[in-house]
Amino acid sequence: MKETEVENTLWERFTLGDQSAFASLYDQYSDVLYSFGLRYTSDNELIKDCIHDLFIDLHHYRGRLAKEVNVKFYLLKSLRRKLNTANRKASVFSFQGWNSDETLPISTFTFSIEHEMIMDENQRDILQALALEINQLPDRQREILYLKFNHDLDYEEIAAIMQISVPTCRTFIYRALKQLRGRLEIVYILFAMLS
Amino acid sequence: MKNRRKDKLDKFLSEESNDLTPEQRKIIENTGRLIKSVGNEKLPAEEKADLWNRISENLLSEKQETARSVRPIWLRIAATIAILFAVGIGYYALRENTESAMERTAAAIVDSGAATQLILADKRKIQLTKKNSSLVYKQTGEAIQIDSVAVVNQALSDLESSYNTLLVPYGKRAFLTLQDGTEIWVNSGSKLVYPSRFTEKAREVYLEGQAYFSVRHRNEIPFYVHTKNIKVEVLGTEFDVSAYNDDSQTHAVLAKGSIELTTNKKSFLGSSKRKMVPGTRASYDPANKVLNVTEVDIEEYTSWKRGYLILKEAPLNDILKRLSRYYNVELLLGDKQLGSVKFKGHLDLRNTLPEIIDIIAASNSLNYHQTERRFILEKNTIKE
Repeated sequence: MKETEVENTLWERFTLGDQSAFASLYDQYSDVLYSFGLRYTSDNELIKDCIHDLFIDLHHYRGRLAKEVNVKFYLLKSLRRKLNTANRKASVFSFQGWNSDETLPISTFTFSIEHEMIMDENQRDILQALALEINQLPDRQREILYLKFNHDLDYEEIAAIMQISVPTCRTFIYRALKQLRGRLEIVYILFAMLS
Repeated sequence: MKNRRKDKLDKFLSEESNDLTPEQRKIIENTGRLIKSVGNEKLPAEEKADLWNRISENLLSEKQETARSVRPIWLRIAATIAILFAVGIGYYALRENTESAMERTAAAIVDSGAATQLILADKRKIQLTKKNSSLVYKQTGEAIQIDSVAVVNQALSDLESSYNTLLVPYGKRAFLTLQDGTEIWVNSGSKLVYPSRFTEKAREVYLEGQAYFSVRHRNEIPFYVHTKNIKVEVLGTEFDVSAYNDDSQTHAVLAKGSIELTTNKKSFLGSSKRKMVPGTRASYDPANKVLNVTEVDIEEYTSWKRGYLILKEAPLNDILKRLSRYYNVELLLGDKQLGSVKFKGHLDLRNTLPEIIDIIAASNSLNYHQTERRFILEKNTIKE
């Protein structure tokens, strides 16, 4: 709670033309934006270019931006749009993109399992199996899980980023979790019996 | 009905649902944990700072541009003068061969300032402020992308000979992609002159200092690297040329393919040619006109372009010279004899100079002290 308040005053100061607030915004959010961008493309120069353009735009339109926003959500959404546009341009130039998707799909995940999460070998196997299943989910479902669990966004925000309706968003996440449970419950039960 | 489903779903996620079996709850919990662990990469600190500089520079230059557009007539006159100037130079340049024209261009440019500079045929000077700059010539040769931020356009006259010069001062590096796709890593303290556009007959560049070339193969259009004392002819290959004016010898190290060196090029008695094979290093001493070719580990001479130095047999003198160019700091030896001490090791050029000096000093049991812009290395008087 407190954190968002601090962020919002920072944002408000920025929209009122405070240069140091602009610098702090960059300082605080460039890493998150970078790591977010890496989910959609491995081209880190492209990501940096998009972050660059995003901050130039922010600076341009700062007077016209809403004062009350979820800053992180707003920035992620804007970057996602920039990445899509850049991708579309690139695919037009290389003449591969006549019937390619409008949006960049999310890449498969690489998980970094922390040490404390791994109790024993069973636990590791279970997580490994789960990781595999997550990566086999359809792109859109995986993307929602990512936005939800990694960035703590709510359904309205996720829907806005992915340009889908809120009910669709709920359906997707419901299906994703159901599929994971369906595939893995038996594994969990087996391991529970063995141990 | 719909609402009930929503609630249930939210309960799933908050891991508080009683409807779920312990296994199911565990799965959702673990999914959340795994997803949380996905890529929390950080922008490397240097890149983060660079990107911020790019953003602030662009915001600044936008302001300047709006200010400048108030005087379009003034600009137009300046541009006309610049073009006339370019045509004039082109005309004179046409009358001599490319090599000496480029050499003259290089000599006419005085090293100035601490920033890397690109000097166009029309004498426009473009400052590149980064430590490691990148320049990419588009295929037509007219547009040059700088540091993936700005694009500079140059007018290409019909005259064949107008040149661009890249001036890289001590402490800076540049990575250049020419219009034919040839890639050149230019090391600190170097000048590279090349035509604004290559002709259909030959691709020629002139180098003072050090550069690593990855030449794009083009059938029947050879690539020449001219230096003060040697000429390197290639068809498509990778090699390093080091031709610093303050070094007594000129060197070429061949990584791939084959190249031919021409030495004594100014001698009336005729020049001599020599083919090189990969994995060898040629050293030419203009004083006694001797060309030596030895087998070497090419990494030792080419690793600088990737940001580190791998040193196997290098004398301290050489290493200090290279480091002082790279960091633009004077490095001295308290005792001349130390110069021939061999150093073996791996130096990461991302480290600061004091860190690197620490490593060198420690592994040779030397002491050093630092004054404002120089380091002095001395023998350790206390034996361990």
